[in-house]
Amino acid sequence: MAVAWWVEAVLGVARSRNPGQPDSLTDNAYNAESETETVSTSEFASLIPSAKAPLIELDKVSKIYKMGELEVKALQEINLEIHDGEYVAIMGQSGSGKSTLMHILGCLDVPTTGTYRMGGVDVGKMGESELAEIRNRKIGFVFQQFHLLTRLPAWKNVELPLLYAGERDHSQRRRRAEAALASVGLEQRYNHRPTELSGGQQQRVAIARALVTNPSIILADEPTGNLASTQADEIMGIFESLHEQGRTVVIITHEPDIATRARRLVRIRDGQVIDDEALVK
Amino acid sequence: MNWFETIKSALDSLIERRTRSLLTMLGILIGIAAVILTVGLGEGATNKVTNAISSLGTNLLIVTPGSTTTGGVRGGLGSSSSLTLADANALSSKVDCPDISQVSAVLQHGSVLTAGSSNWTAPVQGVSPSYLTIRDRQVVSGQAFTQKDLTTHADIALVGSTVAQNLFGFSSPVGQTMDLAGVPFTISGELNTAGASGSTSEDNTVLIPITTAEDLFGATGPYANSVSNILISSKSASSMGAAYQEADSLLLQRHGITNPANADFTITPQTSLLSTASSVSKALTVLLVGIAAIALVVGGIGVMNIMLVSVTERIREIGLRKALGATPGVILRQFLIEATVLGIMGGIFGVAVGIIGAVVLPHFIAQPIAISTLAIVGSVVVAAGIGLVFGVYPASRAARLSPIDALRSE
Repeated sequence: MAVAWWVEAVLGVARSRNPGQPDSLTDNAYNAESETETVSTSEFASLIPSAKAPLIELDKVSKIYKMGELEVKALQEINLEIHDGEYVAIMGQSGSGKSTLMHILGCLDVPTTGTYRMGGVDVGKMGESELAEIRNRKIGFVFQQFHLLTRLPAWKNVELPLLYAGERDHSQRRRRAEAALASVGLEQRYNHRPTELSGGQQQRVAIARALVTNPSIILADEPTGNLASTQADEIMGIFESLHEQGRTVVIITHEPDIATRARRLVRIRDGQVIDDEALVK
Repeated sequence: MNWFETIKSALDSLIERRTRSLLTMLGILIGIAAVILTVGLGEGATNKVTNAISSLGTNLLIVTPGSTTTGGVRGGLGSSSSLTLADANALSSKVDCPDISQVSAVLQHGSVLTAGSSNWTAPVQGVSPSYLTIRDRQVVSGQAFTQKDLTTHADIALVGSTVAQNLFGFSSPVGQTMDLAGVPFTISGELNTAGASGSTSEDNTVLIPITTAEDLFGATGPYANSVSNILISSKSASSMGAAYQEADSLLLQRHGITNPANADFTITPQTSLLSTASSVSKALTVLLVGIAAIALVVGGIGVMNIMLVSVTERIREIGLRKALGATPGVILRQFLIEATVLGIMGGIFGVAVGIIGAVVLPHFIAQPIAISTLAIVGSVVVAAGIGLVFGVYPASRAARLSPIDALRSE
């Protein structure tokens, strides 16, 4: 069983590395200087996105966890559209289903029922490797706990997604990692390890890592949850400026202070959207 | 993520946990060192026996009196003394035995040797001049004896280096006199150093003309002129069979035996000794390697164990890497490479320890240890394979981790 899986995984890697095929998943938002690393075209040929499709489209998405006999409905038929360039906060108390929603939006998990289209492509039908590729190219994660590798200097942490994107040129990777660090104000900290940085600085490294592949969407899960308020302010300032640069930013939080800094507020309770309003600034 | 980056990342993570990596390698190291040493011991023993038997001479047939299978039946006719000097002379006939090149009867007798105040006990062998050719021995100083010395029953002797050292210390034995069974012998030459053959040293020997030996300790009565054994060399390795047949039929005819099953002598080709001896030591080697292989498997389980610990410990790192776009295949490769590197490094260190052991150990034990290139290359390959095989399970566990669960774990 494990061996069969292993063979499949290795073959899957080989298949996805076939450089001759066009990259059906790459839209114009994706940085074209990265080499082609394709997902098998044949499976998605009919799903090439149209220009007008929303960036994110949830259609009656439910997620049900089975815990023994018990069925937990974490998400119940959620409909949600997020367009290119939006700055959205998804707010809810713990247990509201916002983390599950974030996992699905981030392609870390797939819906039990319903469809999730990202740029018009149905994500629910994808396998592990294709999902990994979507995460690598389309999504930049920012986590509450930063999730930096402590043994690596800042620029190496930022470089990681480029390694998985198949960028072979070492100096190019370094240049892009440093540019991303500079864009969050860490020009002087390229070679610092996470342990030598403050919490706010660590989170900025994590944001630089999320930006480095030039993804379609920045997905931040409680990005200020582990930070003191002044540092939280700095981080929210960075998200603000990312939005002003035209990036799509989605922040998941339970704090109203943080949520109200977005341009659109989606409230979640019991796995359902209970409110969806535009915030006028 | 390309191979180079994956290997670099795997090495980084092994170096970061260097104490644990080294301890894990220790398991493989011991297994591989054990394989190298046991194969080396086996090969060393085989070489030793082979050399010893080869040192008996080339294309050698040994005729010994009596027969292990018929000795009991024919005991009354004196089967243990059935070979005589006349048999040896008959075998020398180029007409009856065209494939036999050299023949020498040997009459062996242990004797006390004295020279001045020193004395020494050594086997004394009465032989013909052709003995030196058959046994591939040389006289390094002085003179060998000739057919003429046989005719005159000369009291001259050739001594091996052990005898020379024990009787005369570091001064040359050539020209000196030693007492053998009450008769003074002049030492005409010293033999080259030949090493040990089995339990007897070829260097602890005295050679005298066989006629002189017959006079000194030959049997009388019905056993007169009997000899200990007869050495025969064939003209070439390919004529061994023919020489064997000729010697066999001639001796049967001379001893008046019609049924070959009742032969009162045994002819043993040197090659059969060789194959018996080497097959014994090969069986021993296989046994030892089997034990060493168990050590290797235990080492492999150590690798699997430590890789499982490593997967559990780095579960968040794995989750993060997956979130950042690492496919299951990439994660699998990273852990497989780590396990394989552990195996290879363990193998290389094991080979180093094995070679050091093979060089140092023979100074403490009386066994030579051969350094086998095949065992070295094979060990490293096997070690890498063990790392790979025992890495599959932990690596596939890492690759199958759900990124959510992995990131969530504290």
